[in-house]
Amino acid sequence: MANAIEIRNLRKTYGDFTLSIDSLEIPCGCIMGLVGSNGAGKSTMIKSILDLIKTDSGEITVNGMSNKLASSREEVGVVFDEIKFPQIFTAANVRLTLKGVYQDWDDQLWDKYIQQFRLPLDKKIKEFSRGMKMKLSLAAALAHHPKLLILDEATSGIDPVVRDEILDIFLEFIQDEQHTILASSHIISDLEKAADYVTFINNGQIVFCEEKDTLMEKYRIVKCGNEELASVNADDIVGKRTNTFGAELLMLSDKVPEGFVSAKAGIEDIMLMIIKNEDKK
Amino acid sequence: MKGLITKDLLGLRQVALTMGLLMVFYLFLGFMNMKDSGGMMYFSIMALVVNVMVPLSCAGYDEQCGWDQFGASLPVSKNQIVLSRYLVCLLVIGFSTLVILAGNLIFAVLGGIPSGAAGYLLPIIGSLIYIAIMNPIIYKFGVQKSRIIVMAVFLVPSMLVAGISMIFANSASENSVPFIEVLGKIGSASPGQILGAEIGLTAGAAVIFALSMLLSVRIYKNKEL
Repeated sequence: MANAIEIRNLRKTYGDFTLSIDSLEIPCGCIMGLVGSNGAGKSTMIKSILDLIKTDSGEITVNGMSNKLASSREEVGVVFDEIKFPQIFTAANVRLTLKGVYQDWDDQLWDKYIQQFRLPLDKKIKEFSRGMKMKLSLAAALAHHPKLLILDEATSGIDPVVRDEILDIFLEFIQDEQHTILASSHIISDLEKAADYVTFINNGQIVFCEEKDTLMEKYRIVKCGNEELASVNADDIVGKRTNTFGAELLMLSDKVPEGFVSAKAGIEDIMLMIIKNEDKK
Repeated sequence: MKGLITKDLLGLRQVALTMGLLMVFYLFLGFMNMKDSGGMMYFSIMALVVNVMVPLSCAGYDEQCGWDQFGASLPVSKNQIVLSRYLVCLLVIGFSTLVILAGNLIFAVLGGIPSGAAGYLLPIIGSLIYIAIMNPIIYKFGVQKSRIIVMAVFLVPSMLVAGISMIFANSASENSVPFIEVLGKIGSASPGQILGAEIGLTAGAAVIFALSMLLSVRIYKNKEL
């Protein structure tokens, strides 16, 4: 399977923060969720992929082309956390602008999304709700037949109904096995619903990049009392959340001691407990 | 690149109405002084003001909505992003020059004294140089800081001009003319002199404009978005 994005030996330093990715491959035809806390390096990674920042070293290819080439972005659609068009623009103005940018701009596809999202053509963006703005950004990102969709916190601040509507569009988009989505989000539940793979980034380093189902089978949440906790091998504990009565432990499934009650770990549990564990080190 | 130019022009609609009304006002002012060649010079100076507002207006809109980041994620090179901004400036200069020509034509038909060569040259050359200085500053420091820097950069020459004007006024004899009329007198020079001045000044301004473009590209390529 070809890769939509390949990253090799990427380094980018801002003061005391360094984004350091030795190798990352995002295969075509999948939804890759990018998770991590604020300042973990998610946006820096996305900016590096889009060549918005000067990296210190490393190579990145997008759809098989160096990300330094403007043409590598011809088949890429990008949605940021905020709409990036002037507030006085209307949807018609957005179309006029992007039609002059993308070679494969498709007016009919644009019209289809505008109708599907029930967006007015002549209303200024400043009068749009947040959900409408995001839908407009999405229509703008999809109307030129991209193969890769990059979403940087695109669903944050949007109500669940619109988020669900947008997730449906992602799932429709991914039906084509040539299509790929890289989505960074704080809303883990969205990624749990849609993502095929999850990359967890913390302090500028990739902690893991795994298939979502494998990941969720790999870890278990173990609930135990203080006495039981004392009997668990400390090396087997990946993460720990303590309370008055005992603790919740994040453990690898095959390390859960016999007789202990365990439950499936969600991505959020895995992420939070690993971050807490890292912070304690 | 067509899309980038379209985006800037669509964004400029907001200020176009205000600027258009101001130009109509100064055109009217010119018509009120039909027999004075300086009358249309005010109109030309207003055109210059309109032209030089383009870079700050465009960059202001971009900064406000975060377009820079989105624009760079489009399949356009950083060279194209910068060049399109310079092209928009040239388009506005071209348009305002046509408006000045039309204004002067109507003025002449109605029996007024057109502004002459200075009336066309001042907005073109002045705009080219002003924009050539402003654009790299905007790309380097952003809109907010640029406003202050640009004010400082242009305060010194403005004070010099004001100083020269005062010297003119102080040493005025009964036959002396105001500074603005001195500019208008350029139109009374011989055709050869006018042509020489036109070619020399325009070529000089064009070279400065081109160098500024190269400098802006260099700055923009190193910019973190």
